[in-house]
Amino acid sequence: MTNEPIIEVDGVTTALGGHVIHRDLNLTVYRGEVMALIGGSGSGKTTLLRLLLGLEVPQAGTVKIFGHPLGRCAARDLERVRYRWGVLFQSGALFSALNVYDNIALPLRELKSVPASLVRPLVMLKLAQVGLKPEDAAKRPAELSGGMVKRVSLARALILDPQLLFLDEPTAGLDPDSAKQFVKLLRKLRQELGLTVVMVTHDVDTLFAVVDRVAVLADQHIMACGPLAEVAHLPHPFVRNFFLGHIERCAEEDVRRFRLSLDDTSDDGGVPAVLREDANV
Amino acid sequence: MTAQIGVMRVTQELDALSVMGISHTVRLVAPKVLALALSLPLVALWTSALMLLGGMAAAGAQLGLDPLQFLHTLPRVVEPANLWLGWAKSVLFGGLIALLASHFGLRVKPNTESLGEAVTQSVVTAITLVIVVDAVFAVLFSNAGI
Repeated sequence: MTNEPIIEVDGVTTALGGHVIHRDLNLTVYRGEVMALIGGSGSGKTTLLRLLLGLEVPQAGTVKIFGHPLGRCAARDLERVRYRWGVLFQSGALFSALNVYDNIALPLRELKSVPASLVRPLVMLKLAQVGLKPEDAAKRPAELSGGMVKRVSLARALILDPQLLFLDEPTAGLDPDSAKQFVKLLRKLRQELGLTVVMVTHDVDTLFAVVDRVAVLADQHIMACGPLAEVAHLPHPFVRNFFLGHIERCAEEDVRRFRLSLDDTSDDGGVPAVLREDANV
Repeated sequence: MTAQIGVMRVTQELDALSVMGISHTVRLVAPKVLALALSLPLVALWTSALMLLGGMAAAGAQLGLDPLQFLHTLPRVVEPANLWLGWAKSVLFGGLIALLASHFGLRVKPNTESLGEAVTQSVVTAITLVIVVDAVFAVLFSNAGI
């Protein structure tokens, strides 16, 4: 991991409807890391994500992505940044007027840098990558289950092979199996593409499985930001309740084992790496 | 149209377009404006044809006018330019209505109440706008004598 900052949030203050949500908030995300935002309901996680996406403009402070300042920058700058990120919205936000195939193909077609003959194989590749069948491509978003909407949305977010991925509660509402598959997929993609990921999540398993650093959003600012083992031992009541019952899993060694087991449990139920490792020792 | 764009706001589809760097104006508003500017003249053509046909039938029933005679005499009494003017206006009205509907659609806040309000506003404003613009046209062309 190089120490090049991808996202720099500096002294941001946001107010929505006369209600201050962030006050003097600072956050830096470096290239190649997976950063999770956690915080109670209404602590402004989603608003922070929208700030990072340029959908909200802060009252004070600056947000820089890939070194381009958002908000007051030229439209061209913003455009250049937007082709380099992928976004998975909490509710999927698929275009209900288009079928699955067109939804995934849309960013490609808009970019116009890919020849038309390549669009189909690329879309099918991404569909397969997120674990969907080719016949799902003709379905409408309304015909999909919640888990499938998430997968299609992820495929759409990944179609341009982004360097930066924003995930808003990616595993919320998925069954444990799908959630694990999703996490595995994320780990695989990260190894292959060197992805930088910012995610909002409430799922402790996801945190353990993929996250490098955790930022805790509470009391209108980032209360703590650091590796899992560090953050989990903070005395703040929200953090304590969040990791309640998981605290003993937070030691680095345990987290590493958990990840190894995830990586090596193949879909056909192979022997987890942890067990094999133990056998070798 | 207002509802269509408004629902896209509620389902975050507009946000999704934004983050992909796809312009709302180019991809959502422009096609609607173009489509209605093309299709409203067709509606105008259809209604004008029906209107003339109705006039022809009424003239036949009330005045005993022969349909052929009606068609021959009509251009001398009513200038054909009126037809063209009406047609040209329908292109403008089509574009204006679509623009207005899209404007109200994009202003929808992500909740159902705002959606309903925007649709109502859109309909009322569109009707008023058409009447006002038509009045302006009437004043402008009253001197032209057609």
